[in-house]
Amino acid sequence: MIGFLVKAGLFYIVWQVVYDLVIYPDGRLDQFLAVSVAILAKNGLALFGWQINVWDRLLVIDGYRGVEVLNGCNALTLMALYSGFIISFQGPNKKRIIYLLSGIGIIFILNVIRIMAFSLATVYFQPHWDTFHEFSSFIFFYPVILGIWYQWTLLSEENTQSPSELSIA
Amino acid sequence: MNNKLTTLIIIALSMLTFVVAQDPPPLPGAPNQGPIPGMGWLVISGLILAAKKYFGSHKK
Repeated sequence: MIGFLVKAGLFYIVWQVVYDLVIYPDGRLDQFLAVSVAILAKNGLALFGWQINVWDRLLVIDGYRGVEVLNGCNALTLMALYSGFIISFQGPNKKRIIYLLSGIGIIFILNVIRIMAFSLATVYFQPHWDTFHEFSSFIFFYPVILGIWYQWTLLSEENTQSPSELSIA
Repeated sequence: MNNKLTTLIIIALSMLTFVVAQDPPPLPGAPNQGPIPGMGWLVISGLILAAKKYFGSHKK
């Protein structure tokens, strides 16, 4: 457990330093994530017949308030948080890479769905938009991330138990 | 004399707008850059999950 805490702590320190000194000043990764999420959310809503406009990070359904995907809203921090757990918790390395990449992809897709939901919220329940925004991550992200983390701990448990099971047999 | 008085009153009234004028409204601040709320709860849940697995598997 202490090993996990040390690894996780180091990971987040390194991540924070790299983000503050390299990624944030450069801005391209944040911009890419925010703009791609906005464009995909627009395309997703267009599939359902919504007339929606997108300018850079801003999504607007005609006649309603806009939704802007800010840096903190592009889920990069969440991806780092998710990765920190997978990297720090013991487990097989090949599957670790699969879990990392697929988890980051899932978070990205969930964020697109979340932004789509925010745009629809401006139409259907604008007075409660702030409340919806406040609890959106508990609806869209956290159950899924905790589910994947739980699966990862089960996988690592199987992996650490299998040699002893074999020796018993 | 009357003309002077009228001029003075007009000048004083026009200066009054400067005296009682309000400051322009402040510019909007930077938007909140951390709009994914509740990440602390996720961290706590992750720690509980890890602790449960570590201590649970050690008991076996």
